[in-house]
Amino acid sequence: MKGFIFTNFLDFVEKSHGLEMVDEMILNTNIASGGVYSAFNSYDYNELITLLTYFSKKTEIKEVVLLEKFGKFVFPYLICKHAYITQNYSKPLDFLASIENHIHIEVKKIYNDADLPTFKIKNRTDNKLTLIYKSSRGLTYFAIGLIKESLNHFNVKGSVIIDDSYDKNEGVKLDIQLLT
Amino acid sequence: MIPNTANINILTRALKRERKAKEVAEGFIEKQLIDFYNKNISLSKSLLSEEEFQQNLLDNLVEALIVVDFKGNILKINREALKLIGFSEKETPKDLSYLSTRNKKKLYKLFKKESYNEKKLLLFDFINKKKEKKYVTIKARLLINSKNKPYAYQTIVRDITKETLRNKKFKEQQKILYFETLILKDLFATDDIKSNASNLVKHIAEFLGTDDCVFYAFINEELVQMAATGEKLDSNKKIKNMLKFKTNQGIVGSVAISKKGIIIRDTSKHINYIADGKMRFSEITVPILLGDELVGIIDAEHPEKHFFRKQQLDVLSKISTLISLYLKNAINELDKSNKQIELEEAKHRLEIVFKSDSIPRVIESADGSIENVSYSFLKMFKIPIEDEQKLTDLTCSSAREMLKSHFTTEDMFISRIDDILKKEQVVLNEILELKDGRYVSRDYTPIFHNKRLQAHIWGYKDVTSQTNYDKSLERQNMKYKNIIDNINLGLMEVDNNDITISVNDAFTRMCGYTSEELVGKIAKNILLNKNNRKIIDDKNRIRKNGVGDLYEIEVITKNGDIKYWLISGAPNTNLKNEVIGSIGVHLDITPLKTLIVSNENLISDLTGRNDELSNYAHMVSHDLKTPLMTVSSCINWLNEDNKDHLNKESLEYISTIKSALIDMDKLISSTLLYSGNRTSKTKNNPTEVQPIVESIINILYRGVIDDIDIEVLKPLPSIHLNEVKTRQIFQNIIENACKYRDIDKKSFIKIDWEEHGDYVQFSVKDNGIGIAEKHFDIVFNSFKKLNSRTDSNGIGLSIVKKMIVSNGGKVWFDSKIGVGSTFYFTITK
Repeated sequence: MKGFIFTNFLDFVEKSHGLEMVDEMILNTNIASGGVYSAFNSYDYNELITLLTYFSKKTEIKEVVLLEKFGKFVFPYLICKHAYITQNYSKPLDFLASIENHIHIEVKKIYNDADLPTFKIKNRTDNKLTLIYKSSRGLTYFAIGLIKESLNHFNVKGSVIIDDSYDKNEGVKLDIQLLT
Repeated sequence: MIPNTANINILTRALKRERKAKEVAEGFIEKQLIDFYNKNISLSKSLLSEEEFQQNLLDNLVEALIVVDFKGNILKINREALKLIGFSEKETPKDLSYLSTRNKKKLYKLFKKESYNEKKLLLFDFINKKKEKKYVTIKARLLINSKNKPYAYQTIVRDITKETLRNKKFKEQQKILYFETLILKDLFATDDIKSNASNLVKHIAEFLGTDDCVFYAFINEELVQMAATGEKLDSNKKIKNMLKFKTNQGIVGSVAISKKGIIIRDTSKHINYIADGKMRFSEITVPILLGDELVGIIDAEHPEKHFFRKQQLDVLSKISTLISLYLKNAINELDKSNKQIELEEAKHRLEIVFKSDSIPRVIESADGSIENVSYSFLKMFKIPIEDEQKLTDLTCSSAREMLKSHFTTEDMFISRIDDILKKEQVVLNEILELKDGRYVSRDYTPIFHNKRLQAHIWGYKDVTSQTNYDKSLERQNMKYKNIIDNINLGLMEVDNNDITISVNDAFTRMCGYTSEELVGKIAKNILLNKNNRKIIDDKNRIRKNGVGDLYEIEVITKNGDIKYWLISGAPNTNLKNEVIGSIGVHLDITPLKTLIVSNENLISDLTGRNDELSNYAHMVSHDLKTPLMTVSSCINWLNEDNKDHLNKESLEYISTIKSALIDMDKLISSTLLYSGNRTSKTKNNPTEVQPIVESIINILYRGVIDDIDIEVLKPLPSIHLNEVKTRQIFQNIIENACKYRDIDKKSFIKIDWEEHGDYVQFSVKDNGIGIAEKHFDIVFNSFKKLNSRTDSNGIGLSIVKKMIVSNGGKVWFDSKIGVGSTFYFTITK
């Protein structure tokens, strides 16, 4: 997992619960990296889970909620760093539909070794987009956070719902509905 | 945040982490920078090689490529082009200055004229630096510089030297070929050698590109001008100055000796040269040889030095061979005409042979005239030999008109011949009938030569006797067929599959089916039931091996009657002796069969009746004995009761009655025995004779007889006759001997036997009273007595004879009155 997720996560913890929490978390979780993260490097994904679990325990907030919040938190960081990508889009669904074929290609240019999830377009109308999210890691809510924040970015209101009836082995079905 | 130690510690740790992260990030960037640098270097390297690649491409191009500016400076040149213009790979020519001035001018002209026509393929030839002649095609295009101005030609040059040379050679060859054809034509133009020769020299001169050519004939050790060209001829085309050379004179003379063609490049340097007309510097001379023998010389000259080429010499040498062949042919023609005469003679001889041919034949030419007729043909149609010419003057068709009256079907004779002639195919053995009763066979053979019809041969043969023979054979066949049809034996011919091929009339009568109902079918399925079919199948199987046989079978006729047939089947073979089926001869034995059956019935009936009769006789005899016993008893009682009262006469009567009663009793007993012996011939196990004879003798001794010496000379054998009969035979004969003994002598009976093949001959010899010769005949007759003795019933010996004879034996005797008798009899062992 890329270093910038970890640096952002530490920032996310620091923003909401202060540097003490960060410090305490790093000291108590006894992670291999010792909390030293550089955005370009890759680190063990389990360290993120360890940190998240610890943080969830401490704050008594469910991990999924924390993940969604973390997603929302990360989005502006990604956007401001790679504004040239989002500039091409005026509509949020266009943007979201292009994750697989445009954004991820751009990501690969910078992080050649990044292990990226896939977002297959299942269905698309003017105000509804159905994506099948598939990842080697269970970061569905992190993705939902990102998507929700992207809607905010385009100043649109909408919902992102997981379709539980969908076969889990095929991925996670996300229905993105715009409210107009 | 209040600064305190704890906070400071937290911050210190955070700072430490940040610094470390920064270090990591810097390291990462440094590494990326190095990567970039390396990538840059390899990129520029690959860019460099791009240029090399282009040069390689140029060098490896199969075509030569040269880029030249308008001043002739070479801007670019590839390896192939270097090779073409005769430079090594290491040399780098700057411009085209190595070209000869002439070549340069030509090139300049080429490009001036065609300057911008980029599509046109330019042809160019030049001498390269290695002094090689090169033929090339050039494809050029103008190169435009960045200022949009043309600055150079880019040319692709293809080496076509090989093709060009090949082409040139080909053209030369063609020219030679044309020349040779021309010469051949000249040679065979006319029969006149001289006029042919003058054309010949003209054409040779043309070929050589000169106007002087002479043909010398080698005659009488001299070379004589036979034909010449141009200036050497006068207005009548005759040779003005007909030179003659000895073989040692001039170049022509030297060639006549050496017999080898030569080219003189400069005659002025040759001592042998003799000028004919004006002096010429080049000369070519070729001998004409027939085998090794010189027949002539061809000689040509040209004013220039070094004019004639080796190739021309070769062609002329070849031509000279042709000419010599022509001469040879001319000589052969002479020979041929001699041969023609011989052939004519041979033909004449053959004609004579043909004429006297015993087979009547006519040769008709392809155009329908009579070419030849054999005498036997004339004889056949009664044409006198003197009239042969008359016949051969006719066309074939009119000859046929004349001859047709001989044939019974005149028009058919003509039309059939027309038909045969139209088909032009061999026809053999057509039989024609003549009005005078003869038959002739006709053969037709068309004669082809080189696939062209040359003649027709008609052959006739008198086959009257053969035809008559055939006819009589046919009649004979008819006769046999009638016989076969009329005999009462049913005949059927079948093939190997048992399918009926033919049946005769008798057969159809026998079975009730018509021949149509049987032929082509399997007769056994129609005529036989299952069991009998099986018999036939078995027989057929045997017959396939070529064996004939005879068997009986039960047949169901069309009316449903059952008939018994005796069948004799024999395999039927073809000429190659292969079994192709069989022929069955069928005899209806139903009547015979019924006769046999009724006979059998009759016999069994008779046997029954006989038995009945025997039983009856037995019964009667038996029943007669009872009243007889009563009578005998009563008489005895009467005698006993009254013997004192009856007178002597009465007593005698009674005594007579008694003896008559005894006789009667004996007669009845004999009759009983006789009827018992008539039947049962069965042969049983062998019977031992010895014990039987011993018992008979004992019984005799026990009775009244004690004064006879009965002797068995050697132990008796066993015989094939039942015990009862054996006993009766011996008993009768022995008793007989006893009965008729001579009481005045000491009597004896001697029993003996000897073996004879499959039977035994017994003998019983006595010294009794003997039998008178006159009584010999009646000894064995039943119921006849030779004397009136009461103890003989007369039936004894007749029973003996009957038993012996019915057993296949014989009985006889020797006897002499007063001496004795010997009875002999034989019995099968």
